[in-house]
Amino acid sequence: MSRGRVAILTTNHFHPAGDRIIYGGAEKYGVELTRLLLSLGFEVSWWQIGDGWQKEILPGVLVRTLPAAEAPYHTFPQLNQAFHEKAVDQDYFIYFVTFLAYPQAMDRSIAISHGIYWDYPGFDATLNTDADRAEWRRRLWIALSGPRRVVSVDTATINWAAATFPDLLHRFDYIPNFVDVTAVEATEPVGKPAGHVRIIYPRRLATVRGINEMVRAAEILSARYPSAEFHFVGRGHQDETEKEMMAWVSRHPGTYYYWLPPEDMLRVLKSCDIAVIPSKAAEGTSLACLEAMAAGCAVVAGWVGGLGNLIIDGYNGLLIKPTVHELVRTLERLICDEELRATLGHNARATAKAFDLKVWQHRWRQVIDAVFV
Amino acid sequence: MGTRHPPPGTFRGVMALSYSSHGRLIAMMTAGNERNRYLPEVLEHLALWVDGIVAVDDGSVDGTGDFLARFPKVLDVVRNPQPVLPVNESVLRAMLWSAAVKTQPEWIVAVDADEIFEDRVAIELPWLLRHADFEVIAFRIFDFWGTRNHYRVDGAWNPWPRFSPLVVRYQEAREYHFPALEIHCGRVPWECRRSAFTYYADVRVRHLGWANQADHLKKYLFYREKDIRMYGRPTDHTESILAPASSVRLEAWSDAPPLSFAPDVQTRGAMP
Repeated sequence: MSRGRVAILTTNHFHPAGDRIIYGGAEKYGVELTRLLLSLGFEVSWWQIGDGWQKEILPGVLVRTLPAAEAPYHTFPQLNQAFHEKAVDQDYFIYFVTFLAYPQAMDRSIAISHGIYWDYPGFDATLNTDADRAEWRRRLWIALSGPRRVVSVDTATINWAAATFPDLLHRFDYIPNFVDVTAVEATEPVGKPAGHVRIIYPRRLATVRGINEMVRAAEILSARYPSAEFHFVGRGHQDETEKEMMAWVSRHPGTYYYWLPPEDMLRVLKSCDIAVIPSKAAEGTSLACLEAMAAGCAVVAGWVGGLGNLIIDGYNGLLIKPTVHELVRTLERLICDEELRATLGHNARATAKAFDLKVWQHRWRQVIDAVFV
Repeated sequence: MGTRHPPPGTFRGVMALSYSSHGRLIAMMTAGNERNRYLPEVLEHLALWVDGIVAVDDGSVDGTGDFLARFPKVLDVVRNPQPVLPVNESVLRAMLWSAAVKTQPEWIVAVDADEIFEDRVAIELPWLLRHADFEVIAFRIFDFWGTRNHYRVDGAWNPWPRFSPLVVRYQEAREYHFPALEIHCGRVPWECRRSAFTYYADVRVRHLGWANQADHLKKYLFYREKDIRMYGRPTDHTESILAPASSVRLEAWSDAPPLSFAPDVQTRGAMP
């Protein structure tokens, strides 16, 4: 017997034209959340921006589309309103991104924060005046205060919100992101030439993810250490970026650029010695970081967003200011110190168990049981 | 019709692979007078990563049909006494599709007789074909222009924003059709295009059809005539075939370095 119908509102699980899956960490999160809801006996439907098409996100689970012409102050009021008009036959609601709960949240609803997204350099310029910034904060407060609970993937967001809007502290639940430890442990690594140190940047080629700093660091280090391999594995946000990376690796021996489906990504991760997550902004508890930890990599991470929830500097990874200088210094230390790599990787693998998918499911179940009644 | 295996061999250092871990992959191609162009090297490369090849010899007079039939991995050659392509491409494509599905494929790759995938396809495609969540795999196609070192990037020739669906999962229960267009009907059925379950692969495809400058005028005239019949005038893209060299933008091709875990494949002859 069904426990009720859950409608999830997002911006883009698929490309708005409906012809392309946008498969990143948030999309993986959405699929796992859907699986959990189905396993708990709920019926699930998804809603996103689009022009009338509908597709399955999982067998029997449809993504439907709604119009959204504008996004003033980083909110989607038209999408929010259209969702509420269309989803009147639903029992429970999830706003997959917090700002989608503006201006109104349905009763018995949950919003999800995937991390602070307003710390990238260009954000300030999108809100030109004090009045604009005040209006953005006002809308964010409304979005955070409407749903019964706000699930945050990291504590950085909760701390910011608590400092900015003290009345909202108790609305938050901290449920960090997950890694399927069992799946990672069962994955066979690809091979690696003897004596090589394999370093991976397992991210999209985005400036906020520190791609430019990592490319420069790889240029310097690949020239110094011929046995070091630098793997850049992930798509660019723009075709031009992928073109530049393909040309760049052809000029720099020891560097590689490609992308793979998630399952195959694990096989490569399991073969790596070092994973670099040099994010500069807009970061939560990165799924890529957790997978690298579960795979036993020594992780070098930027100290932004939720990465500090995952990495204890010097114990299960190294937290750095993600500059070229720091990346070169830290990676050089790890390339030359096999014992340190092994220790950090061992501790990272143990730490990852605290973020196992089963733990995440248990925590989410508690929130769902409290709200969806 | 059983799968015939290729003789052991290498092509630019990539060993032929075993495909025990995923379903049967069949290449399908049309070929009209391709015997003395790129067909031999296209077949040699295909033989390294497909289980079989099905072709339509479209009225060739240069021995293309016999050449195809003699090639070890070719399973079937449908022979058109007269070329169908100049009359209606969708009829030709449907004919080829029909021949390909008779070989009971799980996957079909639509390749032209002047296209060669990057060697990485032999390493990466077996991985991709194991995935249940894709039904189409799309690739970027690079048009080499008057040379085998440079591809064209101006206007609609730019390969970077375009992915073409070339590998599709065949589903017996599904209806397939090609739009009734004289040209540009697409080389995979309509149902396989714009699928949400498309994987966009990083492997690139080299299209050599424009690599010889001497072919340009003949091809221009072919497309010009088709355009006039279909649209009333030549399209800008067709006109750009004869654009002056000063307005043609080329980029140098860079070979992607082989993945450092590829040697496993070469040693074991199968994906690790």
